[in-house]
Amino acid sequence: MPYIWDEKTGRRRFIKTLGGAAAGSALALTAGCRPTLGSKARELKIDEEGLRQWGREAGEWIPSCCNMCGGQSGILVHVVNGVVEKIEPNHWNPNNYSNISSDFFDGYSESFGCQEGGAICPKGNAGIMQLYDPDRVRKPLKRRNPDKSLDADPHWEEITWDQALDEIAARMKKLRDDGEAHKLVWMSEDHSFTHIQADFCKLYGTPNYSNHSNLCDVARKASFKMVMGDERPLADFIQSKYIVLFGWNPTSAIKWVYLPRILTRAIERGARLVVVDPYLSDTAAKGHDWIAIRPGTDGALALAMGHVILRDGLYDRPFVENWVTGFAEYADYVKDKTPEWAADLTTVKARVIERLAHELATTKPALVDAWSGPGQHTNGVQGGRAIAMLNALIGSWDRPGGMIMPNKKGNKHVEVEIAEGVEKTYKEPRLDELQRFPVGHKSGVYTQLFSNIANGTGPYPARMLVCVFQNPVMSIPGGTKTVIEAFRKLETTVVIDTMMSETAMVADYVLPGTTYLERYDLNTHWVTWPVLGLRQPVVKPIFGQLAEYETVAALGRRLELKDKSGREFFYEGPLSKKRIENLTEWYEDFLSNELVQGAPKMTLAQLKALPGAVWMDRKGTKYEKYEAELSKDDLKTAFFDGPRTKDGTIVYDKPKDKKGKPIGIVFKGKPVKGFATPSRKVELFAPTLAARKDALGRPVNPLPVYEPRDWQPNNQYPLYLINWKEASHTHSRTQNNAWLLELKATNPLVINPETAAKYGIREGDEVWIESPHGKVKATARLTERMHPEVVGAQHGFGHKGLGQRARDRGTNTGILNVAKSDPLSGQAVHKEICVRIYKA
Amino acid sequence: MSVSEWLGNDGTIRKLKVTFWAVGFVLFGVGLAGWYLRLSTGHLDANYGSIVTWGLWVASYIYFIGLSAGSFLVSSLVFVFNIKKYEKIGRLAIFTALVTLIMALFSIWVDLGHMGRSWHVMMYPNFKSPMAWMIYLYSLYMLLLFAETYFLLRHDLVVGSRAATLKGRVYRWLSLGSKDDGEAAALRDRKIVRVLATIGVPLAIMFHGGVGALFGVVAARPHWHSGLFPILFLLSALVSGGALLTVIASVFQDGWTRHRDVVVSLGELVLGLLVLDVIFQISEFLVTYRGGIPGHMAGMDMVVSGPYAWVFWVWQVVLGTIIPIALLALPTRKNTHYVALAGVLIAAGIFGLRLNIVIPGLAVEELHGLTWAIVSPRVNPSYFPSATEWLLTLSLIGFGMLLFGWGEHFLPHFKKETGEEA
Amino acid sequence: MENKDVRDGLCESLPDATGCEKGDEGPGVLDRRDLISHLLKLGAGGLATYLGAHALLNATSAIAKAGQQHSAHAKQKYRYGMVIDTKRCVGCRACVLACKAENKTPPGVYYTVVFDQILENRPYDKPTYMTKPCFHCEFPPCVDVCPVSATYKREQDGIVVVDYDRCIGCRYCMTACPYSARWFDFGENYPAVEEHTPYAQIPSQEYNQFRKREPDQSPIGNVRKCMLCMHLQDKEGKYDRKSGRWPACAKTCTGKAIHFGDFMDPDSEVSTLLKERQYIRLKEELGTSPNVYYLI
Ligand SMILES: Nc1nc2c(c(=O)[nH]1)N[C@H]1C(S)=C(S)[C@@H](COP(=O)(O)OP(=O)(O)OC[C@H]3O[C@@H](n4cnc5c(=O)[nH]c(N)nc54)[C@H](O)[C@@H]3O)O[C@H]1N2
Ligand SMILES: Nc1nc2c(c(=O)[nH]1)N[C@H]1C(S)=C(S)[C@@H](COP(=O)(O)OP(=O)(O)OC[C@H]3O[C@@H](n4cnc5c(=O)[nH]c(N)nc54)[C@H](O)[C@@H]3O)O[C@H]1N2
Ligand code: SF4
Ligand code: SF4
Ligand code: SF4
Ligand code: SF4
Ligand code: SF4
Ligand SMILES: [Mo]
Repeated sequence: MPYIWDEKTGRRRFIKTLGGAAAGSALALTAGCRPTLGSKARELKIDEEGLRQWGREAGEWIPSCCNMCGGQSGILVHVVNGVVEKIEPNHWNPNNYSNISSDFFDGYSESFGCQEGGAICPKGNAGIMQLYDPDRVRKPLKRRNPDKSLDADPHWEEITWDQALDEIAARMKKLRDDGEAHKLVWMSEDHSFTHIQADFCKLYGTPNYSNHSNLCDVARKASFKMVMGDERPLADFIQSKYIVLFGWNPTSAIKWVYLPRILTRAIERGARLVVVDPYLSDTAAKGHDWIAIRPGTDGALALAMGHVILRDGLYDRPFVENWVTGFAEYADYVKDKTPEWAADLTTVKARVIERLAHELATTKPALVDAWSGPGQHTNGVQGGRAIAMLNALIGSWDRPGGMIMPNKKGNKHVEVEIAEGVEKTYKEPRLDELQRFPVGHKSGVYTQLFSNIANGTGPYPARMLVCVFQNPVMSIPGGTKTVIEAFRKLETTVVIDTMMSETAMVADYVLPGTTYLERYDLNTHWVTWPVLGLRQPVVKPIFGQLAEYETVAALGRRLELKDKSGREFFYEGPLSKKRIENLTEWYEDFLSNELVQGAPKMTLAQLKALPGAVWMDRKGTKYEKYEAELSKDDLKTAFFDGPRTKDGTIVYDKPKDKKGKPIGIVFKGKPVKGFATPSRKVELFAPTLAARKDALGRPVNPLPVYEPRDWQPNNQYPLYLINWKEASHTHSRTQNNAWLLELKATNPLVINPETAAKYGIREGDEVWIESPHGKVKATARLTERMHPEVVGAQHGFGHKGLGQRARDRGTNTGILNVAKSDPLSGQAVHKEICVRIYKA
Repeated sequence: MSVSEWLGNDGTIRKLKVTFWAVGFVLFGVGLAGWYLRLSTGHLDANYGSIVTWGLWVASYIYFIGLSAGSFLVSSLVFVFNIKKYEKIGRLAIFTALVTLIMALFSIWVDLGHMGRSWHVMMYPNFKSPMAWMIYLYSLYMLLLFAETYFLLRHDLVVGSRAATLKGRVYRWLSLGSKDDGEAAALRDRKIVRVLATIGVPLAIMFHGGVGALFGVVAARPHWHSGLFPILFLLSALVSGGALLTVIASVFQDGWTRHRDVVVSLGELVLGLLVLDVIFQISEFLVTYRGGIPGHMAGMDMVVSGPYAWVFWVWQVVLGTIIPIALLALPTRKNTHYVALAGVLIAAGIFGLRLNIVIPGLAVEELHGLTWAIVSPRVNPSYFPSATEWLLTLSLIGFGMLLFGWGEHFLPHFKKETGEEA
Repeated sequence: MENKDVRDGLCESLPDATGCEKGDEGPGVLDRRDLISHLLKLGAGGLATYLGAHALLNATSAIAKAGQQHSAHAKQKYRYGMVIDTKRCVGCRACVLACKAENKTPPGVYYTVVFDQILENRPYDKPTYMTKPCFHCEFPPCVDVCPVSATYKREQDGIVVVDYDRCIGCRYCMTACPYSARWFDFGENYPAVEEHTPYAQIPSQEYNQFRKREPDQSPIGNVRKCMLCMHLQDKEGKYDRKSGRWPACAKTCTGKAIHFGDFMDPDSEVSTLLKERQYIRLKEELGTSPNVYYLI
């Protein structure tokens, strides 16, 4: 009968093959198969060897200080097998936690540091990517292409360190031999290895040593100094109950990483936060009130608040009576500075101003602070004064929850004695005409400096320039024009930078710098009591390059710089008094000396040994220091300019005719410190200024007058343009940092939807921003966070250099500006720009 | 001569087949570049990311597997329900199901982060995961398809294996040693086929429903999370499968010459299914929009008004639905060429549908501002497949065409299926 | 019956009708038996049994699971999670990078990200900041969908992990997570690694597995996620802030907004905060029961 399979063999074969195969595979499966219902937990394998080699216990944790921005926060760096594995907060360092000692020491232990542990900001975490950025400058470079412009290829030639140092030293020698040492201009960032650079310039004989502060906050410094004698009072947020910030973005422009904590913690403890800003900044996002103000009009707002406080008699009478001068003049001046008057100028509603003034004056403790916002305009100093004076009216100076005058005792800059012969050039006037700025700052005036060089103006032409750790092309208003022009005019320009910055791109020599992880520094921290943190090399300079201070010393040695006593300054260890050949060891001795002579009174080695490598004065924050009696030895040589017990008598350190300087004032019959102003009181009226003229030759008003800033919108350029910093980046230096670029990859132009609609601009559109000085492209970002009359962008983008990833990313608003400073302090006016915008 | 005459004659059909082969070869060849890139650079130049995490390859996968389930179910009309008028395409339908299934498996295989670990799915199944079920079900389905194909061809293979040609040798190998070309044996084959086909029907429904469920169960994705999903998947599978078969029947089964009736009746079938499918789709839209929960509407919004709205309106609605419905409903329904055209359009349209299931479901931010929160090309709600993705998919299509063409050409003549004698 | 018409069909189709006498039931009977027996042999049966075997296994493992649910709680020593204070978060994103530094995640992988637009239509588009790691849900949908049990919730401490050697990279779990807490490792590298700087030699301590980034090697091709810096636990599974064994994001947080701890310990900081403060959890309606709470 028929069968599927004709003959057995065929069948068996068939069964074998198919059946076998099927059964086989089924078997194989069921054998190794681990079916489950739901994903069952198992233990994961771990790599013991890896743990031993790379784990947390491997390698070492080295305490140091961050320098991704100027904040100097403490860090702990995990270094394994010579590589930086991770950077973590240093919980022994107050800069990571609080600026008030009581808050910091609450729960502090030697073993762990502050209770909750420190913090570091995103930039601090991204330091590794800065250290290991493949685009870093690795070798000294010499320019071959004379055409200095950002589009031209410089035709760099790699040269050895010896050749670089020899050639640069030779040019300096030439300059000095020509008796033109003063024609060397030296500029540097303002808190890293600055002392040795200052010493170098002094010994070499040039008065033209400057720092970046005049790009930064010298307007604020001037304002506060004039009002209460301290350049940089610090806001005690955490103990405050009412906080008004004028143009300051501390939770995002995190300079000292304690800022976000103490501000949010203050709010948590019931403080009210008011942020005055044309842009709803990231700080305003945490605030209760956002006061959208028209740029450059903060002074008017502050005056109107003063008006209300006086009008309604809400000011702190005892404080004003005891510690304020010029009250009458001030009161008289603000009489007509009504809220209505200010409302028109500031676009802040009159009743809002009334409310703010009332809340401010009736909530205690309260404080008013300001930073770059009001400062970086031509009327910044007077505006800042008006703001500072509010603190006098509410009596917040140096009181808990108010504006504290920090005690900044730290390492001591031992002044070098300058050798004869060198004096001649050293006594020459400064190229930046700093003396023309009545409340100028020792950091100089970059805008003036570069304009003078570019335009051949100023007392004399410069011939050589050394720029360390700065990128003026991007950081100075209009820098892309003026600074590059100046570099063209100069015979020799040297830039020391870690990256190929725009400034480096137009230099004759570029020397590779070190990141903060490869070098030393002493950081006297910006808290309210004496604290000093150590920065130390956690890895050797990864390209074997010299640290900046070693470069300086190496040049000094080649120039055989000697001090008055004729000792070879850059050879002889200032502490050991021995000749030290090794540059690093010499600098360690140099730092030890500053520590021993300074407040810590210990050597570098001893500082390293401290927990977190941080020295602290355990006595902590002191308040109302102006009422502290002068010490015995102060009084030894003291001279009283009037009856010894009569209140108001000014106390001098020595007789006035012997160039005595005021050190105190008689208060309640006793000689006390008072405020560091000429009158030893808070000055609402500054008679000393009355005599002065500003840089433009106009008389200076001793009152905190409101005058409109120079550059106002017109129908051709109807919009204000501002710029700011955010947590994601530092100035113009981190836009090549791969991690930070993931947080913020570009800087769109922030526009209010209303305004955008007026110009037919939609979200994401490419737009032109145009001012009389140039035009730049940007991408539109529409949000209600911006004042309708204003557009703005984060600062720092729009590079032509720095690195592959930074190039042609975002917008550099500096191009729209001119190299200009406020005529009182020399503050660069980054935020004073007017523009028109239209679709590209 | 008129177009229809031209199309009507065998010569043209032959030309069409040649073109078919040519296209197959070209796609396959060109596409190999995609394979090279995928295997050498892994997922680096794929354009999906961590937001739209499934892309073209997953969409193609559910499309191909839909075609497979579809053609299989259509074939069951012949082998289970004995509907004579479809008999002519029975064998080809099964074979199509097999080919498209293989394409589907390749498509999902290359999408894996670790292709080398695909065996894990057999070894460590988690039966709470719809994916695990799906995998096991279609593994069964695949074996079943192989078996069924074997029994469909066994008799002719045996006969063919007599020849001393290469073909003969291959046939001998393929016949797995079976020698009986007796009609009795042929009869048993048919019985077995029926049994297998009968088992296959629920299996196909289960696993393709399962594919639908795989998406449907994801509560995190409102665009997918719907009870209708498994059913929708089945329906569109049937539609696409049927549509594809009308084309195949036209070209490979003399559908434009001797067997017009097959194509026409297939057309009717497809029309019915398509209309049903559309009704279900519409109900999805209606419920979602009337329900008015933003999260749920977001996906739909993206489909009908997002950056790729044209895929929906032009591709899916106009080309894939309206025109074919017209062609199949109007008198043109009697014209096999139009029916075939409708088939092509529908089959293509369903692919658009697949894309519009996978991508919008993922592109909608799960939390508002997610795609703002960090700057990375991998955190991007808008997705367009990369060259590699396209190329590789094309090569799969080419591969499928060649495999099908080979089978159609090389394997015992499918025409003889119904034993209608030569 | 069926048999009958088959035979008829046969008779028709046969050239000569021999062995086709009426009443000869034989072949039919025989056939069916053989048919079945052969089907069996043809492996379909084998597979049937296989299916059966699975049904069985499922049943058993279901029971096992049921039992394990109990023992799970018995076995569970900690319930780790976070309480994140939105009032303290300033949106600086230090947490994002601290996590990167800790776990060496590549471009495109971020175990936590910071939202600023989570609340829509606030006046003046005022941002609300919120960092979002994995929530280590009590009932994690991501786990249930994994076809190969590569991702699971640890019994001892509730941490949801991924077994990089098991994971096939299908990314189904990513679609299932309602919080976008999972990230696929496409194999990209940061310049410092790509260009072989010294940093390139450092492996990731994640899971204490110390994997280096090599083409096609896990975790490349895997799905990755926050695992609460599990590698920082001691042998008992405890974390310790004092010795730095604490989630990196919480350690660096500039607003001190991230509180980490054990919810099973009623006196832990996190438990206390939940008693004292108002909180929300995201998408409660999905029943995932996140172990990350937001203070509001
Ligand atoms: N992440 C990060 N942090 C930093 C820095 C950094 O580069 N990155 N830099 C550090 C340095 S050096 C400094 S000086 C500080 C500066 O810190 P900030 O003083 O905060 O500096 P900005 O962000 O430039 O400006 C603050 C705010 O001023 C607003 N503003 C602009 N024009 C006006 C105005 O006319 N009136 C008012 N009221 N506001 C205005 C801007 O919108 C901005 O929100 O940040 C420090 N911290
Ligand atoms: N439009 C606009 N302009 C501004 C501001 C603004 O708000 N808006 N802000 C202003 C303020 S507040 C300031 S403080 C200035 C700051 O301006 P700058 O002082 O110029 O600071 P950066 O722009 O960060 O440039 C620093 C340069 O030093 C390099 N560098 C970084 N680290 C090191 C190192 O360790 N060693 C060496 N050798 N080089 C290093 C970087 O690569 C970079 O090229 O910018 C000002 N410019
Ligand atoms: S604020 Fe950030 S970048 Fe600046 S020093 Fe501190 S940690 Fe470093
Ligand atoms: S948050 Fe997402 S990934 Fe994390 S456990 Fe919950 S579902 Fe899983
Ligand atoms: S990607 Fe990995 S973990 Fe996620 S579901 Fe697939 S296999 Fe499981
Ligand atoms: S807990 Fe650890 S893994 Fe999770 S986000 Fe924070 S740092 Fe990353
Ligand atoms: S680090 Fe802290 S404050 Fe900064 S974004 Fe993350 S959670 Fe918020
Ligand atoms: Mo600054």
